[in-house]
Order: sequence, then C-alpha cells, then structure tokens
Amino acid sequence: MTRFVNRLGHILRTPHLVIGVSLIVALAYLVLMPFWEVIATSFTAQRADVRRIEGAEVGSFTLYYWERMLASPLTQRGFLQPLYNTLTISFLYTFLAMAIGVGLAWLTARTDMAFRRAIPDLILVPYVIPSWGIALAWITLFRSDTMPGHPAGVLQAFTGITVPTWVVFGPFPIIIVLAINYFAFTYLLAASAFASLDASLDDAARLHGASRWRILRRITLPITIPALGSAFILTFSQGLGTFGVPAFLGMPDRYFVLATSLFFNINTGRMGDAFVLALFIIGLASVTIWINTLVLGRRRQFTTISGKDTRPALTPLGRWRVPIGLMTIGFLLLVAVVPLIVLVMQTLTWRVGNFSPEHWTLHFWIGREMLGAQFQDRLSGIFFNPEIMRAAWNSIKLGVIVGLVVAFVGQLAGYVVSRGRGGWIARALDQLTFLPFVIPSVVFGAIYLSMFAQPRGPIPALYGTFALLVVVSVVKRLPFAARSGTSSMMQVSGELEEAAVMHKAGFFRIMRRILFPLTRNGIFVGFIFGFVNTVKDLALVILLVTPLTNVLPALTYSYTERGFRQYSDAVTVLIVAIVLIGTFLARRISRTDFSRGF
Amino acid sequence: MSTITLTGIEKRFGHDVAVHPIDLAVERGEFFTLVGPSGCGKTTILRMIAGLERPSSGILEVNGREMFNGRTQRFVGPEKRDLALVFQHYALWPHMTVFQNVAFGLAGRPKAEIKERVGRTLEIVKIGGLEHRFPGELSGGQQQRVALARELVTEPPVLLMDEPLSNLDAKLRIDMRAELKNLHRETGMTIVYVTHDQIEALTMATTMVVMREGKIAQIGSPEAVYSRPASLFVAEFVGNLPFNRLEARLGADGSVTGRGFTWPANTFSPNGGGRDVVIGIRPEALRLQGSTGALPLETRIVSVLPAGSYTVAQAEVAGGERLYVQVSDDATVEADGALTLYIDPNRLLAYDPATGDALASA
Repeated sequence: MTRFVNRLGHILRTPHLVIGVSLIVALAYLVLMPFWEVIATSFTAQRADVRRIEGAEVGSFTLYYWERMLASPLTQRGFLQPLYNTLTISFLYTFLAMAIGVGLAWLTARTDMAFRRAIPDLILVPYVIPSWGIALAWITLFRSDTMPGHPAGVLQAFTGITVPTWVVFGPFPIIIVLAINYFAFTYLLAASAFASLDASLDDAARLHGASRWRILRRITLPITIPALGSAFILTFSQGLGTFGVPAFLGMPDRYFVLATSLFFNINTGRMGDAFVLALFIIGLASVTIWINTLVLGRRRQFTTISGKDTRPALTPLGRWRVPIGLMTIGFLLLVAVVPLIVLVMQTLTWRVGNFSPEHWTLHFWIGREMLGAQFQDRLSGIFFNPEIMRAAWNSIKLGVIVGLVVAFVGQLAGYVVSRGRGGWIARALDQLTFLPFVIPSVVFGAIYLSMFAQPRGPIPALYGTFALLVVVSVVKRLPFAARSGTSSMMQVSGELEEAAVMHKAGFFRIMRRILFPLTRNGIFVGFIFGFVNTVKDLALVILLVTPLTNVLPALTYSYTERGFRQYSDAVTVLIVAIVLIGTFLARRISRTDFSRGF
Repeated sequence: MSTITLTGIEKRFGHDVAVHPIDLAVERGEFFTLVGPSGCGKTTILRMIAGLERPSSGILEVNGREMFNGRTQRFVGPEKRDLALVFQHYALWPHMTVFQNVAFGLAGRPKAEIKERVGRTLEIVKIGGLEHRFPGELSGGQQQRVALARELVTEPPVLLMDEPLSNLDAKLRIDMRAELKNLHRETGMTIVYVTHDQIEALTMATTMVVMREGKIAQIGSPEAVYSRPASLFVAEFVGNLPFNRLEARLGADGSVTGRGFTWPANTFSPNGGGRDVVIGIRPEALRLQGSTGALPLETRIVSVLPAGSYTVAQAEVAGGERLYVQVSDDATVEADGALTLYIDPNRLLAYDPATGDALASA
C-alpha cells in the first residue's frame, strides 16, 4: 500500500507525466472518439434511411452504406469518379507545386541568383490569401459572358479575350490554384533539405575531381531525395481532403472530389454515405503518411541546429543571375498581388461584369442600406453590415483564442514529448497530436457536427456554440503546433530545467522563468500559424457555423452561393487584411523572427 | 556519520543495467570522485544522488534522511534534498544575466541580502564585475565560474559536480583544478565529483571510485589506486603514461620466467604459484640504475620520445614485448642502444591473464 501511494505520489509530482496524461485523455475524447464515431455511423442505420433498409431500425447495424458506396449503381458516380478526380488532382498539383517549390529552393539555396536572400520572406506572402480566395480571383479573372449564367471577367472586360470553360471550372484551374497555394509548403520542406547538405561533402567530392554533374548525381540527389520524396508525399496527402478550391471551382461544373462529395452528402442528409467517404479519405491520407515514414526511414525528423555555418559552393548562373532573380520575384508578386487586385476590382463594380471605371463604386465597402434589401446592391457595405461585422469579430476572436490556446497546448505537448522521450506517454501523445493531420478539415467538421449535436456525458450539446468552433480549430491546428513545440523544447537542454529544479523551483516557476522565455519564438510561431490558418479556414467550420457564430470564410461561401459576388470578394479581401494586420501586430509585439520558426 | 549512503542502489533502463547494485558511503568533508570511461554509470550515480534520476532499487540516504527506498518506493524529489549540482555544460540560463542566474536560488530573500551574497560569491570565483553580462557574452572559463557561483551562493553542505571542467581548454583546466581544491579546503564542503579524466581524480580526490560498466572497479585513495590497481583495467585507465605488461610464468617458488628474462625465487610470494600471469609495471618504476634487490631486465631501445620535462623511451625485451620507460632528464638514451632496466620488486604487480584481476598473493 505504501508502495502504491508513494509511486502515485511521485507520478503526481512529475509535471510532464501529469500534463501528458491529461492531454492524452483530452485528445482521446476529442480525436479518437470522433474517429470511432465515424466508423460506427457508417455501419449504423440512420433515421432517414430506415425505410430503405430491409428489416432495419434506427441505430441497428447495417452494411447498407458501404454497399451503396462500393457496390451499387451509385458507386461509379458517388465514389469511383470522385476518388479518381481526387487522385488525379492531388498528383498533378503536387507535381506542379514540387516543380515550383523545389526549383525555388534550389535557386535560393544552391545558386548565386540575385535577390535570393529576399525569397524566404517573400515566399510567405501568397500564404496570407486563403486558397479558395485565389479560386474566387481565378473565376473573376477568366470567366466570360460566353459561359451560361456568367458575366464578363476582368480578362474579357479589358482585352476582349475569352477562354474556354475548362480553363475556369473543373480540374485544370483546381490543379493550378492548389499548386499556387502549396508551393510555399514544398519550398520550405525542400529548402531545409538543401540547407542540411554539408558543404564538406561537396568539397570532398570536388577534391576527388568529381564534376558538378557527378556531384549532383552521386551526392546531392541521394542525400536530398528522401526529403524531397517526403515533401511530395506530405503535399499529396494535403490534397486528398482539400475542400475549398474544388468547392468553388469544381462544384459549379459538377466536378466532385471526395471532400466536396462528402460535403454534398452531408448537406443532403446522407450521413452514412458521407462517413464512408470520410473513412476513405482518412485511410488514403494515413497510407501516404505511412509511406512517408518508410521513405524517411529511420532518419530523425528533427535536425538539431548546429552553430557550424558551412555554405555549400553555389552554382554560378552567370549573366542569368539578375534576370532569373527578377523573374522569381515577379512570379511571387504575381501570385500574391494579382488575385488581390482582381478581387478588389470586382468589389468596386456596381454591376457584376462591368469593369469600366465610370461605374465604379465604394458601395460594397461603405454604402448604407437601401430600400428593398433583397438585392445585394441594396444591402449595406461590409463595414456597415451587422452580419458581416459580427462574423469579422467572430473570426478575429476565434483566430486569437485558437492561436493562443494552440501555441500553449502545443508547447506543453512539446514539453511532454521532449522530456518523456521514449516513454509510452510521450509516444502516445506524439501520435495523438499528429492524428488530426490525416483527418481532413471537412471530415473533422462533419464528425464534430454529428458528435456534438446532442449532449454527451458531462458535456452539453455544443452545436451552435462558439466553443465548438474553438475546440475543433485547436484540435485541427495541433499537429503543427505540437511539432513546433516539440522542436523548440528539444532545443532547450534538459539541464537548464534540472538546474532550476536543483534550486527548488516549482513547475510554474520553471515554466515562467525558464522554459517559456527560452521557447518564446516557438510560442509566437505557433500563435501566428494558429491565428492565420484559423482565420482563413473554410472547410473546418463550414458545417459547424450558425448565424450567430458565423465567421468570414463561411460567409464568403454563402454569398458566393447566393451570387453576391462583390460581397464575397470584399469579405475575402477583409480576411486577407485581418491576417496581415494580425501577423504584423504579433510580430511587432513579439519581435519574432518568422523565418526561423521552421 | 556518512553524508551520503548508497545501499544496493541499482539503475536499469528497460533491460539495460546502467548501474549494478552498489554500496557507497561518502563521508562529511570528502572530495569524493567517481571516475571511469563514458558509459560506466558514474553520471547516473550522481544524478540518482541529486534526485534527477530515480533508482530502480536500493536505499539512498542523504544527511541521514531516506531519499529513496526501492521497497516502499519512497522518493524525495531533487528540490527537497538540499543538494547543489554543477552541470557538465554549465546549464546557465541564456536569457538571464549573470546576476539573475546566480540569484535564482535566493528567491524570496531581502533584495539587499541577495545583492550582497551574489556579489560576494562572484568575488570568490573571481568574476566580480560581470553581473550584468549574459552567459553568451562570457568565455568558457567565465561561464564555468558563473555555474559554480550559482551553486555556491546558497552555501550548500554538499556540492555535486558532473564533469565540470571537461569543456575547458587544457591550461584553464589545470588552474581550475587548483582552485576547486582550494575551495574545498577553505569551505570544508562535501564534494561528489564525476569525471572521465583520471588526472582530475588523482589530483583532487580524497577518495576515488573507478567505475567500469556499471560496477565499481576499485575504491580507495588516489595513491592506493595508482600504485596498487586492483585490475588491469584500473591499471591502464589510471595513469598518464601507458601501463606496461609482460606475459610470464609464475613458478611455484615465486620465481618469474618470461620471454627473455628470469627473476629469482621469491620475487613474488610463492603461494598461488605455478601459473601464467601478466606482470604489470608503471613506466616510472623502470630505472636506469639498479639499487640493491632490483630486478634486471635486458632491453634494446626502439625509439626515444622526448616530452619536454621528461623523456619516454620505448624498449623491447628479448621476447619482443615493448615497454615504456620514463627517463629522468639528466640521463640520455639513444635509439638502437642496448639498455638494462632495473625494477624495484615492491613495485611489481601481477594479474590473472584471464580475469585481469590483481593476484592477492602478489
């Protein structure tokens, strides 16, 4: 008995065990339970379908949904086609994003290209625009009045050029827009692979008389290929559940991917079908992540920062040094600035499709409500529209709260993982915090919708509350925050903490005086990424918001559905503005070096 | 009464045994040094004493209080043990100034007292005036002194040190050894000191423990460990110059016969004779001049290695085995010359060739 009490007492006095167990319990409830819920729902007869399933009651076990998705006349249209579309898009956009990202990484890390020091900062600029915002801009830029039901776009209005419909809707624009959205991601992964190349390897080969080509083939590629392969797989996995872009660019053309198909099913009340699709998306994502760990092999995912600054010899570009540099910067500005300009132009047009300056108006920004407000040009401009202002305030509130919570929870999880290295608590927590990475946002939204629609145990029905949005966003942002927290905690030697323990400092004093000050950079990076991604996220919240808890991205979606194009574009620009101002303020307050957080 | 007592203390990591059950007692005022190659368990023992590592079994007492008991699973945390620890990598908090680092353990005391004690301690370790610098702005030696000051400022009765000098350059290390030794003498503190550097142990310790693979290889005063190593491992680990071995046969009469040399009966005590042995000789025990009773050894000089203050010669016996000889600076030896060496039989050591343990009879 004493033995047990003493042992328990020890565990209760070991902070990383206490925090670790609490986080595991919380995540089991917030991640594992929903996961189980999806599986269970896909095998359970739903109220809406009871009549169609032979001998079934509500809640009884059934293979109906699996059969319908996998072996019925519906399979081709409801499952195989979206699956095929998803894989096609994911492969092609990943290739494109890799080509751009790896190219940029090689140019900045291994050549003497002009302005290459500016690239790491500039590359983050397109990141402030939500991916579906670029999709909206794409439509506005290329649509033409030759397409049924569409007004003229910017291109047609200014040049008279019209493009075929497949350029505006369907797989082609989805691939391009996703590539624009993800090349920064592949760049960051590839750049770290190139940067981790030790110059001495290069020099050693050169001393043995190897040519540049031979060095590339025998040294650079073998060393970087696992990392590049991993970048490919991670980017690919992100495409499997992507929702926003195919929703805006695919659904009008009845071009469905798994995620939009799932959304469609839920909106039409077919939860069983939706969750079968959800399981497929999760399964595909898990397989890719598993392949990723095979590719990376036993190499450690975190490389510790060494003080040694050995720059590899740079490939000279000769007289192309400056032109290539200018083209690179031009490209980055193009993908960041042009979409914004196009969106802003549309918000200034009084009639959709009429871009001539004499018809420009600020009504959609600062106009006051006019009589007969069933038409969009009679509603108030976004700054005087209570619906939009409430959503803006909700978005800011959500972004800040999620950013703060996720930064600290990520740091605490990182503390547990780094301190309990090798123990089962650390490993379980590491896995649990990563799990949301393979659950696509729209699936998460769908699961939380069904799970929190009724009260569960001590937890009241959370549907329709702001708290639900906070919870789902925190969980979804956790993989990144926990990884970032782990890597920043790993860089704090355990001795620094032990030295404080020896001086009788308690857990809170150690956190306040030692660990948080030393991992400040990691905390702020966690905050900024939590904030930015939450403010931009459409897929996660689209199924969970209600008029009172609405946030800006979901509002954009509903304005687009209603055809209120100026409003949806103005709201998108407002989101970008919030992201920029929020990031700027956070950087000012923290003086965080953004690029070093990776 | 002992300040620190370990009884059957053991540490396992999974199936790996880091420290086999050991008994140790550190007396008040000792400079107690644990020395051994990396991975021998010395740091684990120190961390178990500090409370940073939890033993797997055994009993650990500090100042008469039971800190760990494997049977009851009683465990007292490091913060309640009244011990101070200097870390190998200093573990200075990089975001705090020297003053803040040193004052950390004095939290809660009056400001004036903190200021006075920090100032005084920095003077003791000779870095007065650096209060407002950050650790990153200091040299390695200065950082080492800050780390020491941070532990000294609370005036702990027991100071634990984990390889504190291993990151300093050779010259600074010698200075710091002298200073630590003075500090120990002046304060009368009990010091438990871990190092992989046998010279540090020999120069500073009052008691040294040589560890190997989680077990105690030998415990005793530095003089005893150096002159009567308990095993070939200890003999080779301790000492600056390589330890010489010669394979030989120990006769039943105590005579020794090797390849190219024969020593008379009763060179060793006859009991336990009639077996193969490894003869061990420290390089400085080989002399160029014989005194009464010295055993001769015919050799040929292979090479001469002057080292400034002394010269080392490599000599080959007729059987082909090579020995290192420390030659005093007034003697001259030349390569390829024949040389007769003389050994004081009292300084001869004999080991079991199979186990490497010292022969009790030797």
